[in-house]
Amino acid sequence: MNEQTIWQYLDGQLSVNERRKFEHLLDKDSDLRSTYEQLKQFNHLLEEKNLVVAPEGFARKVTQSIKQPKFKFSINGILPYWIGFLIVNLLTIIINNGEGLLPDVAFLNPEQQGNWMPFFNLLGTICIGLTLLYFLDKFLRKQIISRTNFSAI
Amino acid sequence: MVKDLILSAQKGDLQAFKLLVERHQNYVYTLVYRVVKNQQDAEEVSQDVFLKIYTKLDTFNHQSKFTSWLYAIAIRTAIDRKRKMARNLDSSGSLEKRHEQFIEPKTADASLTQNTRKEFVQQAINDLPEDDALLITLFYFKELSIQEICDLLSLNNNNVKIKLFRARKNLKKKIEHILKDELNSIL
Repeated sequence: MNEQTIWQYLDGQLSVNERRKFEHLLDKDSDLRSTYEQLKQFNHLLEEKNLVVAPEGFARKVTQSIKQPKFKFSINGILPYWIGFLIVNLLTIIINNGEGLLPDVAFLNPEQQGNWMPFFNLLGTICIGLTLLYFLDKFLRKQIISRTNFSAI
Repeated sequence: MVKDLILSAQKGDLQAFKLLVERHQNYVYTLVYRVVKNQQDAEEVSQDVFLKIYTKLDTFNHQSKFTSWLYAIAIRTAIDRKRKMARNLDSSGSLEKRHEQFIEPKTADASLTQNTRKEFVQQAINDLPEDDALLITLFYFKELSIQEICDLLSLNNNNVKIKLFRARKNLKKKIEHILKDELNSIL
C-alpha cells in the first residue's frame, strides 16, 4: 500500500470497496498504521497552522482607506449636473424639431386641448434626461471612489 | 450570511463591507503572503485586494462562489505586485534582502513551542514553489472543492492531484521532526 492511497483515503477519494479494503489492511499492518497516523497528523497540522493571521486592525484600515466621496448639496456641486441636464433637454428638443419647446403654453392653449403630445414630449425629455443624469452620476461616483482609493495605497 | 453582507455592501453599506473584510482577511492575507513572501508587502497587497473588491463589488453577480472570485483577485493582484517588485528592484541582492525580513528558518528542535511550530510550518510552505504553496494553502483552507481549485489555478483535475501529492511529500519532509514530536505528544 503506497502513500498516495493513504492520502486518497484521507481525502475521501476512495470508493466504498477500496475504503473497506484499506481499513482492513490498516487493522493488520502496523507500519501502514504508523504512516497513516503521521499523514493524519500532517493534515491536522496544516489545517491548524496553514492560516496566517492578518495584522490587527486590518479591516479598520481598509475601510478607512475607502474615502467615501461626500457630495455636499451646494450650488457649485450641483451646477455641472444642471448644465448637463439642460444641454440634454435642449438637444432632445432640437432632435424633436422644436416640439415640446413650450409644452406648458401648448398644453394650456384651449385651441390645442386634447393634444397631449407636447406634454408627453416634455415627460419623455425629462425621463431621458434623468436617466442619463443617473448613469452619469453613478459613473462619476465610481471614478472618484477608485481614484481616491488607489491614490491612498 | 455572506450573501446578505455582499448585497448590503453592494448598496454602499460600509459596515457590511467591513464585516466581509473581517471574515475573509486572514484567507486573503495568507494567499498574498504565499506569493509576495513578506509581511509588509502582504499587508499592502491585501489592502489593495479589498479596495479592488470594493470598487468591483457591483460586478459580482452571485453566480459563482464569492470566495472563488475573491481568491482569484487576491492571487492575480499578488502576482502582479511581485512582478512589479522584481522589475523595480535594482539587483537580485536587494530582493534577497527583502525576503530576509521574513521569519528566519528555525533549526529542528523537539522543544519547539506552538508559535515557533506555526512559524516553522509557515516557512516550510513558503519555501515551496509558488504554485505548490498556493495549492497547499487553498486545499487546507477547506473552503473550495478540488474542482474549484482547478478552475482558480487554471489546472486540470489530474494535475492538481499530482501536484498536491508532490507538494505534500515535499512539505512532509521539511516538517517531519514536528510531526514526530506531535505524534509523541499524542501517543
